[in-house]
Amino acid sequence: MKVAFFPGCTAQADQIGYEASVRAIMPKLGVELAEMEGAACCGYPPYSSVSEAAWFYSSARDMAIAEGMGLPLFTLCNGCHLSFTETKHALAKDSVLKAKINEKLTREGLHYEGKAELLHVFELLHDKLGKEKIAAAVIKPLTGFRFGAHPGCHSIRPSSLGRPDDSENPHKLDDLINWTGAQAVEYPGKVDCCGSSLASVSGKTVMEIAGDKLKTVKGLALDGLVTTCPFCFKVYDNRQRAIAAAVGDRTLEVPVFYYTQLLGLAMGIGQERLGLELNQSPVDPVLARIGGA
Amino acid sequence: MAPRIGVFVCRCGINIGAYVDVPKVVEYAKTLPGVAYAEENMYTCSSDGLNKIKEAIKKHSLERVVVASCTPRTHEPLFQATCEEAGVNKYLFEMANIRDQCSWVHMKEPEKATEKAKDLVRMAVAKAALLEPGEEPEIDVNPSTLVIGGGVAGMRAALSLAEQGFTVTIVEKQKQLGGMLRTFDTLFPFNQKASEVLEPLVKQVTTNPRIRVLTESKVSSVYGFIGNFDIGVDAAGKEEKFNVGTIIVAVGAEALEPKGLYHYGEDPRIVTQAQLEEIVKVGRVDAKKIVMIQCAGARSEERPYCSRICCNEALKNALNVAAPSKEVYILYRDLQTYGIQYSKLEQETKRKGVRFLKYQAEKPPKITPETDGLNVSFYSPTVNEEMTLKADLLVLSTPLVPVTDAKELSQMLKVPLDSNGFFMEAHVKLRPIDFATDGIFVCGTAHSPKDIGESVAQALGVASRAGIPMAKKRVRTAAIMSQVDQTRCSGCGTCIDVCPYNALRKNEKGLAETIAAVCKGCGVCGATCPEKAITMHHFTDEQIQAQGLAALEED
Amino acid sequence: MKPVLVIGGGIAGIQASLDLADRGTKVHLVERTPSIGGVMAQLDKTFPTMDCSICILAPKMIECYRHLNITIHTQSEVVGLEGVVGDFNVKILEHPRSVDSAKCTGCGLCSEKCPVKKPSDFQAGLGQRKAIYLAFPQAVPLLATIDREACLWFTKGICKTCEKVCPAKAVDYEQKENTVELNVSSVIAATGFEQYNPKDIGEYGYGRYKNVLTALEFERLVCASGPTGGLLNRPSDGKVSHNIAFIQCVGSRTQTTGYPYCSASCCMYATKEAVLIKEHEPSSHVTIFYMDLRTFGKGFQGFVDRAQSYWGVKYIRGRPGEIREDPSTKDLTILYENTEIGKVEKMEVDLVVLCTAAIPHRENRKLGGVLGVELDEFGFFADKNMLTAPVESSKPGIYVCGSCHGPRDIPESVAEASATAAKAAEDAARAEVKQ
Repeated sequence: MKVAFFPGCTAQADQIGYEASVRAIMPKLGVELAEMEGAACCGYPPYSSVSEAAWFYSSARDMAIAEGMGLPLFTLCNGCHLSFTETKHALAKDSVLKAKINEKLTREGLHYEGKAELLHVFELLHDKLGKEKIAAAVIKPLTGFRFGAHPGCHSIRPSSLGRPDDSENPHKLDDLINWTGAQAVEYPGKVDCCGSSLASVSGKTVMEIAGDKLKTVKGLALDGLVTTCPFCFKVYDNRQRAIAAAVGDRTLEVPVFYYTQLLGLAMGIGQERLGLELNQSPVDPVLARIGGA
Repeated sequence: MAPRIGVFVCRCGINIGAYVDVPKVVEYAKTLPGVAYAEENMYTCSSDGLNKIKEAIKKHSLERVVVASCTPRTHEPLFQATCEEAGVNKYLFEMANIRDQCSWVHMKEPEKATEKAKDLVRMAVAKAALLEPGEEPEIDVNPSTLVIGGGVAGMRAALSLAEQGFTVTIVEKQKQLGGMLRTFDTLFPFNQKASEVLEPLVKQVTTNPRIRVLTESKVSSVYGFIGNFDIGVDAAGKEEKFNVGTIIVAVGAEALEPKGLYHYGEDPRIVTQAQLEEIVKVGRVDAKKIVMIQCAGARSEERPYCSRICCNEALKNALNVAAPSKEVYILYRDLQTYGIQYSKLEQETKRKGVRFLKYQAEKPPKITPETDGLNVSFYSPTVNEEMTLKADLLVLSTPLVPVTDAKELSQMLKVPLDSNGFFMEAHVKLRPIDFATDGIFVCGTAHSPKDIGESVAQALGVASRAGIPMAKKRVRTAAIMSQVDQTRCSGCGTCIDVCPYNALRKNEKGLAETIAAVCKGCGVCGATCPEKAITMHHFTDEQIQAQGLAALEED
Repeated sequence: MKPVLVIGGGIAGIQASLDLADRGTKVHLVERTPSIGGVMAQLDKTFPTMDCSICILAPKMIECYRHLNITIHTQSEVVGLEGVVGDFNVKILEHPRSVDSAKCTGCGLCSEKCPVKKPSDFQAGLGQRKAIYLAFPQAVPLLATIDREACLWFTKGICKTCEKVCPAKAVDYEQKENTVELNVSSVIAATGFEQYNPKDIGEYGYGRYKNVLTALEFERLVCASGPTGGLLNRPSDGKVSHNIAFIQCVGSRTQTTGYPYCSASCCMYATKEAVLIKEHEPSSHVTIFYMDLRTFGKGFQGFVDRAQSYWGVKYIRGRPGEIREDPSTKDLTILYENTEIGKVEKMEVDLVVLCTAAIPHRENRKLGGVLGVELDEFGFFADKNMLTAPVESSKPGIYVCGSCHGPRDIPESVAEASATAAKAAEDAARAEVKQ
């Protein structure tokens, strides 16, 4: 299948490993990633905190590009997916704003109707491809590994808009992990926020919340925390040392992976193509075990 | 020849069976004098257990039955009826309570509990041997009802009874029918006019040929018993006497006038909800900032009950005064917007901008009247701070309290009041509108605070309850009663004085005589009689002595 | 005088039937399940008096059974109704028990030997029953019933153990359904309610966390006739629970998952269950998380006051946001805000009881269609006018009482049941006058 690929700002700016892993696995899964010429920020969080109109415009513009391509809009970022979803809902109700936005879009030869199908990582991998296709692609099952799924807020909330997974009892990322041959383990606080959105408001809170989850995962002796969101990954992986210091536990060490990195490993794709050298959390011991397996 | 006694010992699942060694008790029972048969049951009260009793009666020609199980309060009638079905007079049945009085209270001492169970069975068997059959007197029931109180409940009960074909007399102390309903302008939850409910009801009552209404009247005397109550009424100065078969108490309740509470009575800006309604009715709500205080005089040590309707009444009034130019605050402890319609009323009131502020029971608001308003200060647990509101109008939501003549009426009817002064029903759950005294019923706010719909439901309920004996035309009363030995009675009349039910009278010979239908078998007369001329059937001196001696016997 | 049809054999239906039967009216009492008794038969004790529920109910159940004026149809439903008040033609469908009611003695041997186990409705799913079973020990009528969907004979054509062991030769696999047609003067609907299933309220983990129970499940746990004989052995490991929390308004008073209304009796039954726990073990810690403490009935405030001052039950005003389970111990942590001190706190407990909404019975829609009466927006039977006609349905001659027209407690249901009996008596009197 062919999809319009929207990596989003954060992945392109510094979460390059994530984008790399997505580009590595998709062709092998039969998914062609088409480039979205001229696509820009989805609007969240910079525009959405300042101007709703600017946010919806930016977001609708990207959706219009995908519409013009006649392809579903696939994004690897939880936040982008929610941003597009909220815009869709808002513009479906606000025909005046929609018309204004389209007025501007016409100048670029674009038009927004809200018809583009939005695909989150879960929806593409879990719902569209499904267990058979994913399991078929796995040649080095990650048997014996136990991971905790971190679906992240934006893939499951708010429930009123309809999200890729259930708000209170999400299972899709767990399923996806299980389909690599590893075992997804339930843990308390799985649906908790990483704290990222609070970074500009209360850094201390981010440390506490993220620290809680890392401590839980460590306490259960899991092999790692798995996510599909660049923001969440930034907190748990990039800022893990700072979190450990903030919560007063310098031994707090938890390997953090993007799901697509794990799937890539299970599909036999080389570590160097999955951006794993960019993971700042201690993933090497896990990689060593996978390599040897 | 000694009568053949059957003993049935119940396990009651694990209630008795887990603590009392039931098989041992059964074996023991077999050794007691007069016992021809004994068995154990898992649940004697189940239809299986009852069938076993009937079968045993037939098979072993039993003449007396003892069931050792739970409490006669709930199960005696059941077992008695079962005996009757097998041809044994119900008064030849005796119960030993080896659950409430044994297994339930001696759970930690099973051996002693078993011994006690044996004692209780021995006592019951001793008495059973001396039981005599009883004949229940039948009395005719006058198909006519006295309804005391002409409010919504009284009127609705009267109408239903009239529709059922009975005649009704309503005795109302005010000049008009209507009771509390007359004091309201609008009603929650739909804000309909009270007159829309009241007027059709009054019209129906006053035009019904089977209903007689006595206004400005009060019941002055009540004698008799179910089916045959002699009523005396002071009807606007004239004395009326008539006879009825049943009585319904529908005297309503009153709104508390909380003198002194939150400075009520000391400042014209402090009113009750009823007074607020008056102001709203004439359209004169000048106040811009209105504060209501819930539970004013309720849910306190003095009145430890919730008056059920005050929250919804406050919401109704708040909706009627709320306007963009006004601020309305309701200070509450727990909002009693129960059920479907009241939950909706709560949402509607909140949407209209009325603000709800919680206060705590142990920190009631303090009111300081000033020239430019009333300072209402209270501790708000929601924000953890002392808050002060300056109110133009302070409205107190006060509870309903029993009517002032409730006590007098209760004594006249010989029906009890609960600790809060409301009329007390026979059983809170299963007989909520009956009195323990046969033939007398209660409905509406006389029972406890409630809304109009609930009062109407109870009113219809008593119309059914009262309708039962009147439809049957005759009732039977228990055969547990006193009997005066005419050869020993000296005519001193002491028994008549002490009888709480007026169940004894002097006959033509000047000697005491029991009025069988009224006698409740309480035994006060029997204990009092200086000549020992009175026998208490089913609790005779011999029977009680036999039980006492059996209790003291060694195993 | 024509008979009256009472639909529903719970306490309300029983009371209405007895009132009418006592005054000489014939009553047909139709009950969907194998026994009358309803929810009240499943309760341990009742508030505020702490009477043993089945003890005060069973005598009334037996009275219905023995009353010459009452015919009980169990395993039955009303499938047709035509006509007007005073002259309703109704059709009752009696589903087969597969047991001959004239022969069965209720001895229970069949059930003992039956190899098929199924969750027991009476035990709220906490215990099991067999494919051939007696509803509960005090069931009325005390007859065995075969659940044909579970029975090996009906599904696979094998077994027939019950027939072999029955000493009364009462098993009858050939028993057919039976239609009874009646002409009645009035109909009383007393079909009761159901409890909301809180699995959709994901944050409370019902269905995922073993030690989170609904109130009815807890009632069976604490009841002496329940699956644990009244011991508070929690589901995950059988550990006796001494630290228990109740959460009120689960699925009630909510704009999201559940219903917006208040279910009227939960504050009181939670208090009752809390007192039961304390009676079992006075050193227990019991906490009730509530929104508004609804103590509006007679004797309720006093009951709650005693629960607090004498028994030490704790009440915290705050609706918990989440329950978490410790994966190894299966202990639960409740996250909540104590709104009276404005603090967000955590509490660890052994067991959580969810007091769920009282919702319309799922059969109401179907029955409402058959009777031709209106339901409200939630699916309860609609009363004609809450103030002036509280027990009348939208159709003259058909009355409603008890929880089938909105959540309410036992005393109200009983009074309303008598009220519907009065209305039926009025109908009968009017009919006589016409004649």
